[in-house]
Amino acid sequence: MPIYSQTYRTYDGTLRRHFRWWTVAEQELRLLARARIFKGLVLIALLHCLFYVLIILLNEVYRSNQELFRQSGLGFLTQVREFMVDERLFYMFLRFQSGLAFLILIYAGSGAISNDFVNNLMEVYFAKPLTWIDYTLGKCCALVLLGLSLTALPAVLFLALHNALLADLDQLAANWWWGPASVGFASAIVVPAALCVLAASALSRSQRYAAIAVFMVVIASSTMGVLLAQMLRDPQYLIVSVPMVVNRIGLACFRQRGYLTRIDLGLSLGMLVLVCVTAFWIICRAVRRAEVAA
Amino acid sequence: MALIELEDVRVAYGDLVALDGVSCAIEGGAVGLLGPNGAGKSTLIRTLLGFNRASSGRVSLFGKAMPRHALEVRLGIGYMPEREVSSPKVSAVNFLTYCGRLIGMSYLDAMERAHEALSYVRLGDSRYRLMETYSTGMLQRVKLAQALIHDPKLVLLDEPTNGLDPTGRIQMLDLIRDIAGRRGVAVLLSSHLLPDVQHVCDRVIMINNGRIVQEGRIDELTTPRDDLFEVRVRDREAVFCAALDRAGMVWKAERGGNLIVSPGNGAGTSEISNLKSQISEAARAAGTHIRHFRPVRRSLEEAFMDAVGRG
Repeated sequence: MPIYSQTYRTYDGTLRRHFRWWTVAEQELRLLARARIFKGLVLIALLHCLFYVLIILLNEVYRSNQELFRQSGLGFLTQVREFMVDERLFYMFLRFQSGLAFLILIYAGSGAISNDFVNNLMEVYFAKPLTWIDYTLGKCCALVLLGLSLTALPAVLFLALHNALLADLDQLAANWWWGPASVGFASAIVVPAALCVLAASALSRSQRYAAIAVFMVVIASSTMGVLLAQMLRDPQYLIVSVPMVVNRIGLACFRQRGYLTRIDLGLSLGMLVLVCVTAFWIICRAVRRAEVAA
Repeated sequence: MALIELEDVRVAYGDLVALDGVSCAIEGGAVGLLGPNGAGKSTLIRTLLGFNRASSGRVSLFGKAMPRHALEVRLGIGYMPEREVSSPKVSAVNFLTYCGRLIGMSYLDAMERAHEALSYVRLGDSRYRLMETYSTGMLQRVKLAQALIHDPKLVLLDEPTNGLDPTGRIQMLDLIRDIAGRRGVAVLLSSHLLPDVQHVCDRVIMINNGRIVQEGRIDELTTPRDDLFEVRVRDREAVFCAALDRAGMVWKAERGGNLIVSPGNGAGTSEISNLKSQISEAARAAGTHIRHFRPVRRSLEEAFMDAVGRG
């Protein structure tokens, strides 16, 4: 009998009891994959990745045809730092990609919880054997995975490509740490951003307001950090600015130096943990309240 | 073992007591939860689901204590909330598939059940359309379908006919009656619309100000009254009415030539028990014959008003 002509009948299949959070995450990613704006933003992020792939390829071509390049007047390329494949290239990639990833996370996450509240879906979801922990974990997981797949994943793939082209184990022994450093910096970019966006989404009943709120917090914290640091002539006050704290951790991951290295690393990590814990607490509180009303 | 057992349950939202000492047991079948707005019907349903925690008393479903065994219990419950539910950017099939997967079904099972449930609620043709294009009636059907997707033992329906036009309302009630008619599927229907409950349920629980004020089978609550009779005489109606007046009885003419006769104000037990013979006496005195005589059944509305008045 075709499905469309079947009527109500008993269900005798087995029900899975675990990993419901993954179902939530999967659905979130599925919904995002259908949105045109999301696809456009991801495409821009991928173009940025492509640019770095070209740099790595160009670098390899140059390395194997140095004489040819010199003769054709392109020898100056060795002097351009941006075209050298080193830890700085990975740091720069992640730094620029962080802006795009942040935009994508805001688009993806600002409606993740608020839309469920507005459309009264929480009651339906929690009437099923789904706990607030599953729900929260699923939403966080979806955004963190999305963010990491736009930042850490390409960086690790670049490293693999670079080493594959070099085919030199000595080089690999020297640059293997770029991988963990990329994952570390990418996590510092993605996790706080994802949690903050979800926290705003949990507090607001409008996707738009949630997005605006996150932008405002980022801009306000940065402005405040710079103002305090300038007025009190102490760069430690830049710790108030979340983007700068993230950058400070990036510099530390890739052993780079810059103005922001004046900020204490321990304090920066503490600040980031504080932001993440606060945002996570806000999400848990709002979602738990939907499951347990009184 | 009763399907639902509540024992002296008290639920409060801060200082506001929503349920106060509610005790009842529901064995199965179709049960109506009747009460005026704000009586505590939705709170009772939400307490059964574990959304509201009782500050005192005991709640158990399928013999399992709530909210401790909430996850196990929810596997056997389908819930249709009162408020409009929509996932605007997905189709009904995708939404139901997701609901099925949340319950623990595999993707294929959930997809298959989604199609079946949507066909059952007669949304087959529109199931691939985005839910943002659905009318209120269609969204109500999706709500019902998601409650049925895992074939629950108990379905909790909170005001299922809200916002429906008369045809849609009848179709929805027919669907609910069909679900209740199926073996093993118990229905708890919360509504303030008495005809809806009467259409579907064989038992009612009336609730007011957070307390159960009346419960029982509908046919028992609407028992024939011994103080009110529907009478029609062959002829000489005016003379018969005058005889009733003389005997101190009160009557009211109804459409179709029937008279509703009751003992006068302040009538005692003996007058009420003699009412039948007094009416026959009045007919004899008027020189006519009684053609139609039957006790008036108490309507569910009257039973409800009595109960709510008491509450």
